[in-house]
Amino acid sequence: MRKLLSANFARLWSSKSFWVTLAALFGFSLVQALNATRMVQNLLELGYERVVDRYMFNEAPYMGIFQGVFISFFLGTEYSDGTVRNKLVVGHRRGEIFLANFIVCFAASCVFLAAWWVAMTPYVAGLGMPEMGAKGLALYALVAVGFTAVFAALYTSLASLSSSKAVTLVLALVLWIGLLYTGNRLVDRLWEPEMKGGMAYINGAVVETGPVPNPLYLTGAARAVCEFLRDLLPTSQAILMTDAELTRPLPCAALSAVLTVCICILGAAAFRRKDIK
Amino acid sequence: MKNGMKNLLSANFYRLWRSKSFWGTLAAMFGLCLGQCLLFGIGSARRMIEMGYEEVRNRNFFYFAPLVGAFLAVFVCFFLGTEYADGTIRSKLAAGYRRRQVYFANFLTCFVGSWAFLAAWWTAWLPLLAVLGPLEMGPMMAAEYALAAMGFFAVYTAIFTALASCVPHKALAVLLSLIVFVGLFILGSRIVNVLDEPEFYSGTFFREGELVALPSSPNPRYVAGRARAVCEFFQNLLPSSQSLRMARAQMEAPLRCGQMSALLTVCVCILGAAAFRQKDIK
Repeated sequence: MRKLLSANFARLWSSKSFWVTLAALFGFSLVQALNATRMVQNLLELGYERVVDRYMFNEAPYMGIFQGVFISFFLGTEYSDGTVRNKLVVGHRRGEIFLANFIVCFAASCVFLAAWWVAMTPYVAGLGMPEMGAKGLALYALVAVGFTAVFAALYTSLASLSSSKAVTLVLALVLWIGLLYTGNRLVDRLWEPEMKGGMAYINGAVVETGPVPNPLYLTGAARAVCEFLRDLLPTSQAILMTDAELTRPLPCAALSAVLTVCICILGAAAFRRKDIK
Repeated sequence: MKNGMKNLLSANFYRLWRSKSFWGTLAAMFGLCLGQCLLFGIGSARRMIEMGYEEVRNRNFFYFAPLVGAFLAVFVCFFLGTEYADGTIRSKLAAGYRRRQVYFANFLTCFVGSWAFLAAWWTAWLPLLAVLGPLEMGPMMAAEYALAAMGFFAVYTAIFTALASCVPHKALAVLLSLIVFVGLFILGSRIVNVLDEPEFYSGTFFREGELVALPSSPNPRYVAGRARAVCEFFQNLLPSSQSLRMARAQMEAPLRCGQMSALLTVCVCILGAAAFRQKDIK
């Protein structure tokens, strides 16, 4: 295991895909941070509140796409160059290879995370510390590490099972879009208010309507299931982080840890059955 | 080489009908369109008609237009990437075919393949018309929309063929094509949004329980004069802005968009073929 990790890390630091993805992520985050700084300054002048928190984590949902690209390229090379076969031939076990790949991809993802947060420096320098304070930031960082780990586990499993780098890339992007869509739907549905009221246009006159029950509001077991899935999925966590609406960061991080372990176990089991040519 | 182009096209089409990437991408797109139509499209169109919206069938039928480029990117890069991975391009050149012939045969095959994507997209949305009636725009305008769609399909195909011919690495070609698609989408979306800005602001608000109309004031974001003409030119030129206008059933001159697409396709093909001629094929 130590040898595998050492070889993987040696390859990581000299990997073009790692440095190019890191540079792209840093540049993207920096542009976003500068845009957000200007926008928040305008909103603060107009008297809006809690906007510093709400625009700080705009890039959170996009972390998955950068990880997807990097892991597909980085692990895809193992197949195209025959490295996986060589590792097996010299006696390493499939479980060890999978775990070493996951650990190195997760470490690289943490570097991406650090690059994203470093790119936020102009935002904090221009607008000051967010209202959530240092403790809130630490909890948000923990959640970000959690959903990054889930993405790393998912893409490592994909890349270990698909021997074509291009297919892995497309599958990773499709998976990210699917998860983003599901997360978005969950968050939207759970934000529906219990009662609805407002103005209605009846017979040419605007009439104030009393609060009526919202048919889209979820109750009972359906709500509990949706809340659980929202806290579990990396994309819904990232969407909540973007809106600074993560109310339960610690359970989210714990669920991410559990999900990461489950995906790794399933991925390693599937990789064990894979026919490596 | 005599009959060179005919042989190349024949070989390419033979490969196209057996290509897993072609059928896989086509099935994925058809499934997505059909799912969208049956699960959301018909229901939402029905609600919009009940609420008194106009051109509901038009707008729902073409709703998928902006996304087709992503499917074409994946299909073209996989289909042509195999030529590099299997050494087919080298074999074609070794057999005496000219690079220009290889390039144009590849483009033509992918372009004809893209017609299947158009057919899949429109066929998948037919249940909407079967349930709610024909398109409000009528058959003539629908035919013009089909021509415009083939136009922007041709531009996308030309761009992705150029990329896939110059990048031998299949995964990298897919990634670059998707980045180009997203970049064009953002650019097209910005142009469409800028042109949609109204010239004057007006509106109403509530004051002490009564609706009060705001006096009309000029919109500083409204683009006028030469800048507007430039934006309109690019709106008609770019495949992404054409597809966004199509999705909203707001194409004012589909035939002119088709002509612009044809011109852009020729330019991209010439540039792509020139770049491919310089390419070092290992």
